[in-house]
Amino acid sequence: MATAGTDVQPGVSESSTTGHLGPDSRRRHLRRELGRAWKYRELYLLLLPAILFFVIFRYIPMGGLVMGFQNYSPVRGFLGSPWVGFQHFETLFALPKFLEVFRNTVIISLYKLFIGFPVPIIFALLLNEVRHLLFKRAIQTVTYFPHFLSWVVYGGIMVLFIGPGGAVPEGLEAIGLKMPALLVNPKYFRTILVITNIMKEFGWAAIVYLAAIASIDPSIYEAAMVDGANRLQQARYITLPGLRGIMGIVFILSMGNILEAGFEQVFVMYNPAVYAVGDILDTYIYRIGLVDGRFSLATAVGLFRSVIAAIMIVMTNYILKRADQPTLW
Amino acid sequence: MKRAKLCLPLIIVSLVLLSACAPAPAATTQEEMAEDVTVVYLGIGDSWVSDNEWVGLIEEGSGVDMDYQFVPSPEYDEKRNVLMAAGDYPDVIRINPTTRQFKQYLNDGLLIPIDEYLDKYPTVRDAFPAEVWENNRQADGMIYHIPRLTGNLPRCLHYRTDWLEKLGMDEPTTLAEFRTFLERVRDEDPGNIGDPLIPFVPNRLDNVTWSMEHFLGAHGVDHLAWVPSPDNPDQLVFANTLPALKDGLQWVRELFADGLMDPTFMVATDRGLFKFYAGNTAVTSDWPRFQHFRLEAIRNAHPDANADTGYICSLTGPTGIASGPMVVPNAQSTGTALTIAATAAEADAFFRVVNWQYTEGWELMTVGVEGITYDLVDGVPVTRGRDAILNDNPQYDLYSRDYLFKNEPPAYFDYQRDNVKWIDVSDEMMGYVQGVLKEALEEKRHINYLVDRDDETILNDLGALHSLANEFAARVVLNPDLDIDAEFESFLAALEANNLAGVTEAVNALNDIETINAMAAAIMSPDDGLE
Repeated sequence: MATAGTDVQPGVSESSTTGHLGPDSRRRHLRRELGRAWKYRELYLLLLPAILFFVIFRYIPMGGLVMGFQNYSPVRGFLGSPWVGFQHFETLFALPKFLEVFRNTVIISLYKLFIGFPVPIIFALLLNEVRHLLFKRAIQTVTYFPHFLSWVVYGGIMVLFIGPGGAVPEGLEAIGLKMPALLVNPKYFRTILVITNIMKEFGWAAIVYLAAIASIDPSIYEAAMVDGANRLQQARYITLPGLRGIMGIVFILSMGNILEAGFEQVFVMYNPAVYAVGDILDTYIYRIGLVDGRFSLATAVGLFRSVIAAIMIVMTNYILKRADQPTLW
Repeated sequence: MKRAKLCLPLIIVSLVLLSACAPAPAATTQEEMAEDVTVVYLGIGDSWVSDNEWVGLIEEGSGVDMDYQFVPSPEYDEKRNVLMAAGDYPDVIRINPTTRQFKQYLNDGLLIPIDEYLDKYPTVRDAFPAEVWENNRQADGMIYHIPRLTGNLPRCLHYRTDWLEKLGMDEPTTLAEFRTFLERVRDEDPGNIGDPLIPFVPNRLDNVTWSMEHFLGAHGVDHLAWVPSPDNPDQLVFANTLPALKDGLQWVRELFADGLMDPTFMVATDRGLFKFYAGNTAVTSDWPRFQHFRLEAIRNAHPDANADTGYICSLTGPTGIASGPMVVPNAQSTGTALTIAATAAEADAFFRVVNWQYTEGWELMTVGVEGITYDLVDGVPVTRGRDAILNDNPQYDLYSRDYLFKNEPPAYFDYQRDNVKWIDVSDEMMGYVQGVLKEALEEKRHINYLVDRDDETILNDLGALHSLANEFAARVVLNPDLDIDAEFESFLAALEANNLAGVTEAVNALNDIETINAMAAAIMSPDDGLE
């Protein structure tokens, strides 16, 4: 029975007035959606490889997480391996090495985040002020080029430059200065990781900020100039607020990577002398998983890391939402 | 029609995804017999060149098709583990039977027992002493691998005797004299090398043991060994907990700080040995059996240098202790095991190859091909230099052959000892090295008493102790500012936190000092092939 005052369509049952569709409406709704999808089929087709990538390489492998709760044997497989519950997690948390690598991972990630986060922003602001187009593009190309080098190459170059017998220490020694052994001294190793990471990535990271700056209405700048604002004031009162949204999103995503301190970089640059400060969760997973063949324990570490990352993203999104800042959702 | 067009890509995607979920093919049963088999062998080889003549000669001689796949040693464990986890089992693998990984493969049923093949091929069985086979039986009473015992020319210090002569020095016998030699090399550059000169380069720059064993040994500490406690000779302790370690590391630290050791130690991943090959280094760590290889390379790099080399296998430390190569009685290096991928036909075929290597193929596997890899001099085969072989017949490179003969029986080492010219080692050198070994063993020095490791605690926790010991050594040597006493205390605390007590208890429960002393004494006996 229709409720008085409600706008009930023919063929729509009473329940539709409270939000539930009848079968006919559901079919019509589905046809409408599929039609819309067909209308934009090229865009969906463009999206398909990315979706497939995530489905094949991210979602399907999630099934393997069950290894973290088993004494996994490749011979017995997932269905045949004995279930041990949280035993590997208990073992993990009791391992002194785990606490060390966890601490290293968080510290290195936080260093990279809080020191590395402002650099591409500042660079984008500075680059935005450059008027000479050719120079601007040259700088942009030179600075984001290292992003495309793998850490095997870039890290190898860094080791050659600043490692023992490298160009930098040899050059300094030639002018009477002695450079400390940066790559083998636990005091300096994390700093080297952070600095080399910034050098490699700041140019690429600045691209999103440059794009955000380009999207700011130029008339606002014109109005500010009319009001007598200088460049610094324009950057402070117009550009930075305009970047707030993208900064928030990048920050949230960075918090999700808080337990990824950069496997490739650390693996290429570390050595036993700095394991105590440089060994991270990923390098630990690599050693116990692939080299030692302890797949279950390695899976437990990986799962722990992913859970923490998910919690960090949710928490950060929530905090920013409460602060009325742009968020992911 | 529209719905069908939409569904089609979805069906295709689903099929692709489902095919990715297909299980790995199951291993074939043991009962299957085939006439034509190819045995897949996964081995360790840093300089493996697949395009060599040796594979063909082995196949021709043994009548077995072999698919040799070699992986560089730093990557081997990882590669093997990944293959085994993926179900892509080679027929034959190399694995150290004292490792946790071997036990895991056993527990997972990935290895097959070889007892029936040892019975079928008594030459292979008789190539090793009966007690070796008995010591290698697993809990179920079966044998799962062909052992590989260590040789009788252990790692020593390989040095330039021509440089020593130019400096007017005698061969160093103490650490102090050795350091003086390195200092004079650095200061006087007897080889006129110039900037690339490095007095001492460890054979492997990323390996603490190969870099420091002789120096630490001369201070009374055999790196990573288990030795009788000075306070309680009936109790075994981890050698790296001895306070003398600090003195040894301090010595090496000063060597490094004073520019006498390669500055890329622990940072570079390449072989320091190649710098010795290039003739830029006075000393490296090396095995005497390769002397002719190294010397030939140096002479090619510096034809006018009249280069010559020698070995130092023992240096006396400040407290009168003489260093020497560490010996593990009944030492087990990387053995050879068959996996469940090997059908009965393939397992039998592999043993035919091993049997052939020990019989008709013995000459090929030890000296090679006359006129190509060796010449007969007074009836004794004398190996040609590696560079000479590479120049004239690169497909006969001896390194490639050595990778194919990793199942050396003790008789191989007896053959080495009795035919030193074959390995181009002089009688004098062999006598010297054997003398150092004999003296050390008689005085029960430089023995690692961790012979039996078949215990869960040892298998699970020993690796962590080793890692900590290597990290501590590297950290102290490379950082002159670190307070070595404070670091040592932290190191001991870290060992305790990683179950040193539990491992110590397990080691002592399994390894009786008297029994192992007797095994060590038997090593140098001419009647016992154990080396």
